[in-house]
Amino acid sequence: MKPSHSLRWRIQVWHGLLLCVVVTLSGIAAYQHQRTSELRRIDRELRERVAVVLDSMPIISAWARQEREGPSAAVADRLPLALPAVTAALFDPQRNPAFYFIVWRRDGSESARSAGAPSGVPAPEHPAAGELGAVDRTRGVFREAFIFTPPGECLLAGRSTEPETAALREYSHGIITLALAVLGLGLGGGWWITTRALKPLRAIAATAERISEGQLSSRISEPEKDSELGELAAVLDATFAKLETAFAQQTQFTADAAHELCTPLSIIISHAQRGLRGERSAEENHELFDACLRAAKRMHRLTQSLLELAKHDASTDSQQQAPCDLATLVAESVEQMRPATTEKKVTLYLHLTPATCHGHADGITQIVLNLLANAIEHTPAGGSITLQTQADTAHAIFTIIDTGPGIAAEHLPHLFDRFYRADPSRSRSTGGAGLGLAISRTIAEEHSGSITVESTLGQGTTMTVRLPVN
Amino acid sequence: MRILVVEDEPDLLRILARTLREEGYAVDEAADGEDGLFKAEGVAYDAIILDVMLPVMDGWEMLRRLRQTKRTPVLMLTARIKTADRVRGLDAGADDYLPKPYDTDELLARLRALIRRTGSVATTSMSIADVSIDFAARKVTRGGSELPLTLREYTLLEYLAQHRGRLVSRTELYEHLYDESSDTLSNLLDVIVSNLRKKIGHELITTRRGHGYCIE
Repeated sequence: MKPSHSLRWRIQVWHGLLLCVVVTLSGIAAYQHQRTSELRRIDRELRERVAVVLDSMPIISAWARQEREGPSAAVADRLPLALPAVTAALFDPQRNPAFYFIVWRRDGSESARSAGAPSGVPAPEHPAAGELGAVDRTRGVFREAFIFTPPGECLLAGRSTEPETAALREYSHGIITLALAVLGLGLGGGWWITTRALKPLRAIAATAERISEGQLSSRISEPEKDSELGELAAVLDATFAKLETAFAQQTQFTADAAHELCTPLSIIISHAQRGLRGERSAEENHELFDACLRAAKRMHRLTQSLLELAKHDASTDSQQQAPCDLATLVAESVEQMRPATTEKKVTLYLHLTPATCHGHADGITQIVLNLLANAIEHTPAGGSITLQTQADTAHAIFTIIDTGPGIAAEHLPHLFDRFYRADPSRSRSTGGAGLGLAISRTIAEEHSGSITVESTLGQGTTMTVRLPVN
Repeated sequence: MRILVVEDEPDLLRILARTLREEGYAVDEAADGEDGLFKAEGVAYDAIILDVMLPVMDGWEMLRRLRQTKRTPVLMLTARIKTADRVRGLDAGADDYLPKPYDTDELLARLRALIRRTGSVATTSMSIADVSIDFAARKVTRGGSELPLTLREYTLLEYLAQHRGRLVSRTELYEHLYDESSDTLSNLLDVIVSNLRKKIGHELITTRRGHGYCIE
């Protein structure tokens, strides 16, 4: 598996990307917040100083005198340059951070400045009429606040923001370091979590691989049952178990079929070889051919049964099913088997009431014939077989009761298994291949019906076929 | 050589017995495991051909019980050809394993090998004075020319040759050369021995009156 296709890698990449975005955004937000609050603090300080200086300057009275005496250059000269000591201390250039202030006259010429004020500070533009509050601006590394008096003088206070910029830079370095640490921790933790979470998947893949290599008994056996993957593992384990059983059954079936075919084959081969090993009398040749023929017919019956079984195994269509009367089918089958019952001196009793079911007439006839042949075979001369058909609300029911030796309870569960023979002393040459009942059950199940058996040793056997009306 | 064949298929049992008899073996037949075990325990067979799928008692069970008292060579014959089945058969005490459908020639060759392996003579041919016996081809030559022996004569000579140097009792000969259905008249052996002596020379087989025969 290429790393780019690995689920773990994909989860890790998405997880990493998401983590990067979150960490970056929160870093930026933290930095911005810090920067804004610093700036706000500086602005507050600047405005305080603007207000203090403004209070200390009797600009208003000077403006009033100017109004009264007419415009004169002397107005500005009368502006007080000396601030009270407390106010002046606020602008001490030795302090850190150092504040400064500059005052411009209405004509734009400087009228006063503090000792630490940098040179070349451009006079602020007069704001639009009506705005009388203090205004902030950033000029290079300086942050400044200015205010225009009603007559038009301008007072500006400012300071360098270098200490804050340096602190912010340091702060951002801290944030980046922290972000990298969080990212690393998150990626590592994510890797660990995905590894842990996907561990059952690896176990599942490994088990599936072992099974595909032929170790059918392999299971995932995930100890953690509650998680989704644990559930999946449990479901898969159950599926694997079913598959193994089906596979074992199939293997057994194939082995049994091969075994059943091998015996008549042996008979044919050994008889043919004997025939070729020298001159034989006509009588012995006849005997050899006869044995070959018997064996070949047996193989023919067996292959027919196998084909029949395969046909019913494969068919799933229910389209060609039609309503048919069970009583009619049973009556027809009985006529077909009449010679066999006469030969074996078995009496047949029929209690047939019309019972309509839905299905393939051929398939249902096959069931009846198989069960009847089976009953005839197991019923001793002088015995009887009773066939009944009846209907209940949902089913058409066919019952066949023989007076044979019965079947021991231990054999009943396996009776419908393929190649199963209840009586081991019965030779394969006289009995069938052990497929008749298996075929009957397959057909019945194909019709969503069932076959059940009840038997008492020494008294006989009752087989019941239930087929749905619809 | 006396062989027991245990096989539940009548056709197969019949053809096996016939073929083996034609090869000069004395053959007893059993159609199920119980009968087979009863016969195998009662008679000293030179080999048993045993089918696995048998009614009443299967081949494995019969073999297991037989092995508690006897170690007669057993050739398992079965349609179960899976390795696991073969291993199981051999582990249960079978000496050889032949899957069905088998080739008659292979079956006969394996049977000869089995008897040779467990018998006292391991070679496939033997020379006694100017007589040489080829056990595989079942031919006896004297001075380079083939002797026309009957099947009974040959099997008697073969048995004595394979137990060369040992006194073989008349009872033992009857047990190994005749099957259960044979009509064994007491002087039948004497007739065969005398006919055999005419063909291979009188001094080869010595008679210990009242005890049996021996090839020195």
